[in-house]
Amino acid sequence: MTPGRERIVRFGVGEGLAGILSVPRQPRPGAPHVVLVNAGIVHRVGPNRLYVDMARRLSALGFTVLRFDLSGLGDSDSPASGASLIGSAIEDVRRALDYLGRSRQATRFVLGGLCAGADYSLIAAFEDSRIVGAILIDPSVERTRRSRIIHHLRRLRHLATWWQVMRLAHPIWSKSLRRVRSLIVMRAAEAHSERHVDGYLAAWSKPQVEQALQAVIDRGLSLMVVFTGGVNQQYNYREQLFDLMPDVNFGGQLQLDFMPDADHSISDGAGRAALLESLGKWVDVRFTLTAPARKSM
Amino acid sequence: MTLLFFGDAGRQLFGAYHPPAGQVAVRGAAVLCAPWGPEYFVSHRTFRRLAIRLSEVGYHVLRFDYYGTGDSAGERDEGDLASWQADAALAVEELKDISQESRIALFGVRLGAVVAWRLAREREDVRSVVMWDPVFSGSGYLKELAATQSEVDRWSLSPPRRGSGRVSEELLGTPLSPAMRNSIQSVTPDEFRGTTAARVSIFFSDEQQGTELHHALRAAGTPFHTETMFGQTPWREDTLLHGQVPSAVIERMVEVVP
Repeated sequence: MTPGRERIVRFGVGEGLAGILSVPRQPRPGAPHVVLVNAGIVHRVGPNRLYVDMARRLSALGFTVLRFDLSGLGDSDSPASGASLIGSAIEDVRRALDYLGRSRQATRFVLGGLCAGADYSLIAAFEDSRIVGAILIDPSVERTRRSRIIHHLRRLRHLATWWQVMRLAHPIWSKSLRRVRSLIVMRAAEAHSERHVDGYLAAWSKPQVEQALQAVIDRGLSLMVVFTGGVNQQYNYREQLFDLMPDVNFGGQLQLDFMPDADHSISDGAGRAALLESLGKWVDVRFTLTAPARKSM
Repeated sequence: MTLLFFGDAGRQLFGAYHPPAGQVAVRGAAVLCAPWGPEYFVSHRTFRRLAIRLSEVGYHVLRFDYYGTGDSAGERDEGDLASWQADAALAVEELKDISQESRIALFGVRLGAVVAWRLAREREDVRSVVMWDPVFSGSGYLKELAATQSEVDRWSLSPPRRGSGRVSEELLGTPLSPAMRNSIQSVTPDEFRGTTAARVSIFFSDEQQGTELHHALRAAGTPFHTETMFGQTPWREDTLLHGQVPSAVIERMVEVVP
């Protein structure tokens, strides 16, 4: 597989956003364009160069891929003053899609990212019908009762936990203290009255996320969701996503990869190769117009 | 700022060129040499800030990615300090071509400081070399990273089984090829017993770090300027998480170059 040619692009207000466009040598007919969104504040190459590897693999498979820096990150200009973090990010994603629409006549897009990049991708997909696919690596999720039990059992088996407890450095102490305080001021019930999703989706309540997710799935959005061992305190068994969202009907549009041996940025060579292989299969299944339909995972 | 690719088509390197601010006299051209692996990702913001400040005081500046790193061509496990030095030399030539400047300053952080130092010893056009917490014991540096990795693994609930063959050799998320390992291990304080005509400035984040390096430079009769600025470590991951840029060191670096 030969990766595509890489070009530097500038776009957005005053061409303030910077990115690298991977242009395939043999474009896949009808393929959507792929846009990778920053993971946290790591610039467009991605943590441990994850996005470079993803972009080069996808371009070798015939996809045009843009990995760019959101405002204030990497080589892009600072965001407009007053803009919220999420608002600015979603607006920048829209600018990236508009840019690809103008410059390359792109009409359909796949967004992807790790961590915050996954959350931004999902929020953008909720709001923009041009997005037909999303690659979400370690998106924000809640724990379930089962994942809490698994987590605590692992902690109990972990010698370092006991060392932390004895040194009064374990979070159990600070959590207990907070709980006592909240009981004293009678805020415990109030604090648990509405459950929200953690991370960058924090502004969304769980029912809101479920409704929005169902709506985009019904619209035809294809999802590749990856959970790594890097977030095993939060997500630690394969089916957790379905336990979290029992009312969402993914309808065969979800590929769920559970990689408990991989770290958060899937940095190990074997894990990285497995991810890229799985990504290649996913785009083959979802975005090949001429090939016969294949069974998804 | 102009982003560019340079070098041979099969070995394309990525660079970011910052022209000097229009209202100040041009003082020369500066090439910034990045550190290795995890330190590269963490210090990216700092390098951009340093480039901006140098351009504001009259420098043409080029920061770049070595082959196999960042936006440059190549895989993560390709490259060693010798190839990095060749890439840095190419960056110097590229910047000289862009700027038509012959007065070169080199800036390097950690292993990037070793690259800058080696280049400063080789090239007569290098007028100034500024090193920030240079690695002067490669084996000690690897041990330091391995200790950090062990600490990460110790607290992880599912640490990778290192040495089992399941995990290729890597440190803190970056593959460590035998060639890179060997080239890092080849770095010793003796490295700094050589001489250079360039003006040498060294910054440390801990005063304990500099002793051996100072001895080596003095033994070689190389004049140098050194300062310790505590806690200014832009390559540490906790710095990345907080998005901090060590402004104090950057400002001092800008002040010490001619």
